[in-house]
Amino acid sequence: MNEKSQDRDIYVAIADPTRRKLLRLLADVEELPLNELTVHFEMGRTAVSKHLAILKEAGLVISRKVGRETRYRLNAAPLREIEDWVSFYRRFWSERMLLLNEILEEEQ
Amino acid sequence: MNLTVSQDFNFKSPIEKVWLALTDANTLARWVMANNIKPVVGHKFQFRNEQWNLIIDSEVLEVEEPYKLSYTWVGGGINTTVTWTLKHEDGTTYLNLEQTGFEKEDQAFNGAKYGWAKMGEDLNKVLEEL
Repeated sequence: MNEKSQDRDIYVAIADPTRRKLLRLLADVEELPLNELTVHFEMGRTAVSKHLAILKEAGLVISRKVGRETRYRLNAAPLREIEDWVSFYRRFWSERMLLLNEILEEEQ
Repeated sequence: MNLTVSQDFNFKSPIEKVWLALTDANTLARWVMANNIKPVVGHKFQFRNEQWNLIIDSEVLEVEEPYKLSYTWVGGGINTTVTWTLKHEDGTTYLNLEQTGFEKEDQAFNGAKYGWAKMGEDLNKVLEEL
């Protein structure tokens, strides 16, 4: 899985309400096994597991085998990076506007 | 998580002047970056800053003089759309900016990020010189 396709999948990953709920559940804990995630949904293990696989592909969830169970944890970094960009551009445009204001006043 | 930059500004200038600052390449270069913009739908252009090795590829999507201008803003690790909306009331021109579609393109943006930060520092110097 290369970085590029992962990034494209982030948006697909968070577009689904079940997957958003999974991310919220994982945001409150260190890690959770599949069974404990499944109890929060109307669907079975297999369906939840498929949603978790999509989150994993997008790099938003990390899993590890512990004995016979798989435990999942949140990896919010990909989302944070995007958020960083957004806040960067907020500052960028504010600064640009100060400059534009100077230019417009100068011409009057 | 809100993946949109939306900002409002206002200027004590006629709407035509603000429109010119957005669409005339020379004026736009004074407050954003060197560019070859033309307010023509479909026109492809670039914002460039050689010093920081930063190139933004753009294509004009919408022109409604002097009320609306929209173009793509692709580069520095993002693929976004910038939309400017203008209106004039009682001697004030209101300008709204929306930048949408933030989605990281690749890992090659760290250099650009440094460049942008440096640009912000330098902007203050430019302001002092005006």
